Amino acid sequence: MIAALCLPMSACTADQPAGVTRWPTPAWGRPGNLRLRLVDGVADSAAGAAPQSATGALPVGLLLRRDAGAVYRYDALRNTLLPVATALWDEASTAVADCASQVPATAVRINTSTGQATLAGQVIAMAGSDAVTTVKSPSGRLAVLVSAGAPRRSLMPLLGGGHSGRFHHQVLRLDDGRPQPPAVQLPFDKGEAGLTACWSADEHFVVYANLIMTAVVIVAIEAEGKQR
Amino acid sequence: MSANPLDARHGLLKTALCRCALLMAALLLASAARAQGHFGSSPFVPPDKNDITFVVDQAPGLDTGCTFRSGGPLVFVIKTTRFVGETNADGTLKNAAQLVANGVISATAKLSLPGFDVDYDATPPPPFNPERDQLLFNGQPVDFLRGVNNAWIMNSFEIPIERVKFPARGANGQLPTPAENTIVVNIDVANVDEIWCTAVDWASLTIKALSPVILVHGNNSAGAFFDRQGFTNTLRTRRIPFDNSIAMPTETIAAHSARLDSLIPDIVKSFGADSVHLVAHSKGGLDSRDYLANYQAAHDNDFKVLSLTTLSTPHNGSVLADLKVEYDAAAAAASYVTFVGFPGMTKSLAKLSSLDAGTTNLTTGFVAGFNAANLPRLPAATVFNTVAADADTNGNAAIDSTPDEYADLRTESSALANVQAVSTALARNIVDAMYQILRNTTAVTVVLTPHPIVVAGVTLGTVTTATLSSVATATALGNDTLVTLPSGRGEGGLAGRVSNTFSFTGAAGRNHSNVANGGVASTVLPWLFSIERSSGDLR
Repeated sequence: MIAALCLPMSACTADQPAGVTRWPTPAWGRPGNLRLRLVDGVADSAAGAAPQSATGALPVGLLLRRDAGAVYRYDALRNTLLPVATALWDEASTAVADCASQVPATAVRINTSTGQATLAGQVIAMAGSDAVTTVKSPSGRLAVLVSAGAPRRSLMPLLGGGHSGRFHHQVLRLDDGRPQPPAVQLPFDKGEAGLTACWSADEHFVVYANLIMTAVVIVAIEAEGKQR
Repeated sequence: MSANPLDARHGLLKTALCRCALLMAALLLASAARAQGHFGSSPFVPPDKNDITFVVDQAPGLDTGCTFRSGGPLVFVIKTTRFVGETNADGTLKNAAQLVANGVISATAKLSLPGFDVDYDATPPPPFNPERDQLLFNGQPVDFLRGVNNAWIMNSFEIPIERVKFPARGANGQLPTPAENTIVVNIDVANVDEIWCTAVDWASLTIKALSPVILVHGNNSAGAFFDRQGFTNTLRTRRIPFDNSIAMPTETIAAHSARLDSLIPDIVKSFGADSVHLVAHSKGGLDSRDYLANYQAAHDNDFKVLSLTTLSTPHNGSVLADLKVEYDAAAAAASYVTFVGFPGMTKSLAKLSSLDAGTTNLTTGFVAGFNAANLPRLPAATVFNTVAADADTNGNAAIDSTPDEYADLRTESSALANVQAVSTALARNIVDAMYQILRNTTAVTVVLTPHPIVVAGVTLGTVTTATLSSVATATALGNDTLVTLPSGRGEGGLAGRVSNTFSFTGAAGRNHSNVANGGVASTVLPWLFSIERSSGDLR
């Protein structure tokens, strides 16, 4: 369902659908490589997960792991994120999304002077004034575009810049650059200067982590990039 | 074969016969020559086309069979496709003399062409003269073709570079629009009657030229950094072809190397070059190394990266990044953070600075892992050079405002400049704290200590405090306020791959910004020329 069409050069405001929550991840607490894997139904039932969604079309959740460390399980139906045993990850057979290997959607050009993002020369309407980063989905058909407010100025030249919190998520279709609304404001702290964005292997979730990895935000995506 | 000048009465008939005979011979030879991979009838195979050798093998003025003056002149065009410097409206180089004087391009271009049946040394009886086939290059006479009767002889001429037309640089992702150099052969110009004929199979024009330089900026920066600090000014002054258009958002090494994969090939293409040099500042050096390890191989058929020169790249990471990460991690886990063995400004510095996506990739731990994966994958043919710097120009082991040892850092940080405007002492203290941390700290350790909250014998909970401690360096390390000398030089991090290195220290010292100034460019350029002379387009 499309809540509001967000076309290039049109007004594009952020929405915050229910379920977009900032989950603390105290077991991580420092930068590292985030990896995701879809919840394995068999293993998941042992962990007492909610049943498969009624349509069966959407995955029930995700396992999230920082490097080889602690594992969190996101239950999409119950909207919970809880620490689970690492064995749940190790015994799962679903595809792993290695976030460090996900690359920017380079077709989307970010002008670091103006903050604008363009695709095929067309300016993309964003919820934030400054484009921060893009990440291409595993299929290459979609990309997330993260925007924010003005860049942060650091006392340490060339080190410690980024943006001042208030990050916004939106999904683009790379074939025509059409943003898939709604844009979502990510509930990170204002003090956060950057984040990690990562697609699940099936492109049904985009997971955001703050750089120190003390919190994640998970945005569920329907087919063709629409937020659930 | 040529007409017999003694038989003037039958000259026209002889001429006609010669034409027929030669045409037949040429056709026969041509069919054989095509099998050798080129069009035409000479036994000489044209050189392969590349970014310094431009070839024409098929044109109306080529492969004509032995042609008399009345069938000429022979006219053909060699298209140059390489941008080597700014051009005039007619395509000639604007600053040819300077380009030559600076070694950016050869003084001459070598024009080669096989000529057929050029009876240059024949001794016909008066009033006839030996064959003189005049060669014009872009309308100006060059020389006469040389050769012998009824045979193909390779001719080579040195064309002054100022007479050669070159293209303007192409738009990003597009090749330059070729510049046309017209060659005319006026046949048998020394005789009134036409008695000699000739033919040309193909022609090539070869130059020597420095490969373009692509500049890659560091974290939280953009290509304009190289303008502000003066690196590009030196390149411009010396007429070095370069590009500093790359401007990437603040992201990880992996993200930037993927971006470089989409940016560098388009830039190279716009020069019409098949080899380039990369010069990268700070984290841009790690981004470039990641690009070379993971993406360049796919482009090797199109272009090579001859060298990567890094300017204060933290090849071993930077303890300042460690400190920021550890502080943020500690602050998230503890109620109070203390520092041991660090300068007094450290806590303020840690609190006031932010952690961006690039900084997380500059910790010593992250870069150690990066090096382990990256070093074995670096292309063997690429030459690596490093520049490192120490910002302490007066040797007093501190950063001073007089002399101003951090002026160029303020150029890159409006926040620091604003602090300076309010309090020079505070700004100096901030920068000096960075300098001292790098000078004296080799690692940061963190200890979290839980403190039970006991009230009236009842434990109500715990408060955790964190202590960040400096692990001292064995010896004081010079640094540019963000990167130490060993890290910048690539000791350890780029071990075994560094061919040229220079450290700006003492009175010649540099901070992390002006390590990309014009003087540094003057140090780097001889390395690039040397590489070009051994393995590049100046061979």
